[in-house]
Amino acid sequence: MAEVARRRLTRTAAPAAPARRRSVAMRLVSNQRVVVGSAVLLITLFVAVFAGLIAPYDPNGQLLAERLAGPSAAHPFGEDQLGRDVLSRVIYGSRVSLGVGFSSVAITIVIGTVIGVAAGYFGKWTDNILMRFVDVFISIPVFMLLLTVVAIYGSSVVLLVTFIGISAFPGAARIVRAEVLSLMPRDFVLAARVVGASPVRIMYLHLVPNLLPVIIVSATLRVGAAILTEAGLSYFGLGVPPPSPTWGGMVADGRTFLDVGWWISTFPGIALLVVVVATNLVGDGLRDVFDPRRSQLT
Amino acid sequence: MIPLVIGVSALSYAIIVFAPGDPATLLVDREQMTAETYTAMRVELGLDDNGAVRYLKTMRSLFTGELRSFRTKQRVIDAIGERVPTTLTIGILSILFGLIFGTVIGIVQATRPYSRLDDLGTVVSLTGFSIPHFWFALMLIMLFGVRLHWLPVSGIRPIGASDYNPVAMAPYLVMPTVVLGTGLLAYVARFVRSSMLEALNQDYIRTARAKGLRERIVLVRHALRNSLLPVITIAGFILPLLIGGAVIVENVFALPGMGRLAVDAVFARDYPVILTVTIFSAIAVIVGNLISDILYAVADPRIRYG
Repeated sequence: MAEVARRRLTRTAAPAAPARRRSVAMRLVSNQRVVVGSAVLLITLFVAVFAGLIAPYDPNGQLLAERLAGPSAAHPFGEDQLGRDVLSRVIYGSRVSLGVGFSSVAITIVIGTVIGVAAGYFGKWTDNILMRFVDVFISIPVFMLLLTVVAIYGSSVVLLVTFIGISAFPGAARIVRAEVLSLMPRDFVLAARVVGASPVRIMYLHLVPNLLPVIIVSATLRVGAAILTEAGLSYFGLGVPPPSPTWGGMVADGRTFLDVGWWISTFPGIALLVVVVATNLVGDGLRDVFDPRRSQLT
Repeated sequence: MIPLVIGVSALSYAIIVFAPGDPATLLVDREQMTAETYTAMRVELGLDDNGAVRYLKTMRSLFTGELRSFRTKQRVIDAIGERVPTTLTIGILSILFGLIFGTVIGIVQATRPYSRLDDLGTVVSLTGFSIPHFWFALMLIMLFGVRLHWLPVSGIRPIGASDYNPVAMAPYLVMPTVVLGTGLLAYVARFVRSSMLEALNQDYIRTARAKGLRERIVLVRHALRNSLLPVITIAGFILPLLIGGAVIVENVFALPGMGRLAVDAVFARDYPVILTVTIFSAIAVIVGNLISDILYAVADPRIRYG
């Protein structure tokens, strides 16, 4: 009897209404911002994956005789101070931006969700301790912290992704916690508690699935910020170490050639802008679809 | 607030203390280092005390202003004092820039929703969010400095220095202000647009229009006043953004501010300077949050704390 009740309760608990899901999918496809943004992102992803096939030249191949040659039919984005093809470097640079952007956000989301759910579910002193910890982290200006940490502890790709990922967790934790607090008094959570589901089961089966919309929206909006952070660090020479071309590093390369080689800084910067705009478009659109109430608040 | 400051200082201290490498060997030329100078150095730097004692000693010297830069031996507090006016000036100018233009754009968008003008505003704010500061700065330098020669690129004197001439130096501040203020402009424009749209749908606006008030009065006195309230909450989270932005902008434009000091210190492993700048900016953020909470409570009598 108890077994039956439990099963029935847990089934109604995690609402999986197919009708609603289809309408979300429909709204996603009909949302202009999501469509345009994802199209741009997919193209960039394609370029990043097949960089080896698409790039016309070796991104690190130097032709010193042609250094600082302007855009031409053979080199649409021109050549840099070492005679490297800027277009090929922009193409390869997408790997770092997308790779670091998405994987660091994955770390942010995992940490943020664990902390946010734990704080929201257990409340009391757990909540207090975790949130004071978050407060401390959120008070330190992120970019300065990252500069220091990367300069001190080095900047391999793995470290960079980890640092950028960790640096953004407080915001994610706060959002998740707020959402958990709003879910806790709902009937399906109460029902699960009444039938004696363990905290881990409630968190995993009942809370996390219902947090997904919030998590997806905040993750998407964070990708752009993470890409900009990586680019900023690369600009200071603290990003992914050479020889992999990075957009931030390329902009930095061109800063002493603004008078004789405008193309060196301009094109990688445009690439950055386009990709970040695209992720923000998708994020905004997703928020409209999932949560029309809060559509304009950041 | 005090526990927060303690937490921040402990965290920043921990990051630095676990850095690989022995500070005692950083400061003395390896060739001239003998066992005696090494021990003397360790004692001088207090490296032989245990962690908690070192932390407390460091904090005491930090807050009494006795902490000195590894590199220049200058008191850190003095180094920061020389830099603060520049950073503060740029910060205030860009906040004004962002608030004024952001509000105007937001109002224009809200009064003509879903028009071409609204779309244009949305594009502007989306770009403002997404543009990398360092690239935007370089593009402005290239266009207005290198090509058109309208604005000077670098060579500003530290603000507050004895030979500082505000009028002659004003052009130097234009581009940094625009770059730093654009992100804020984007936030404000969005906020104002959405809260104006919400306000314009309220009954009191219909009442105001019904009693025949001019549209301008309706917009400014009735709608704008009520919709500026949520903008105050921005004050809490723009400060970290501005500080992060200042680090980049000051370096691109070679402005002698705190951001530049911080980056120079990071590259020179000048730990006392890094520590102090980090803790001071965190305190600024904490105070900013507090002020925004208080302002919010003052502006909206419905909110009561405690």
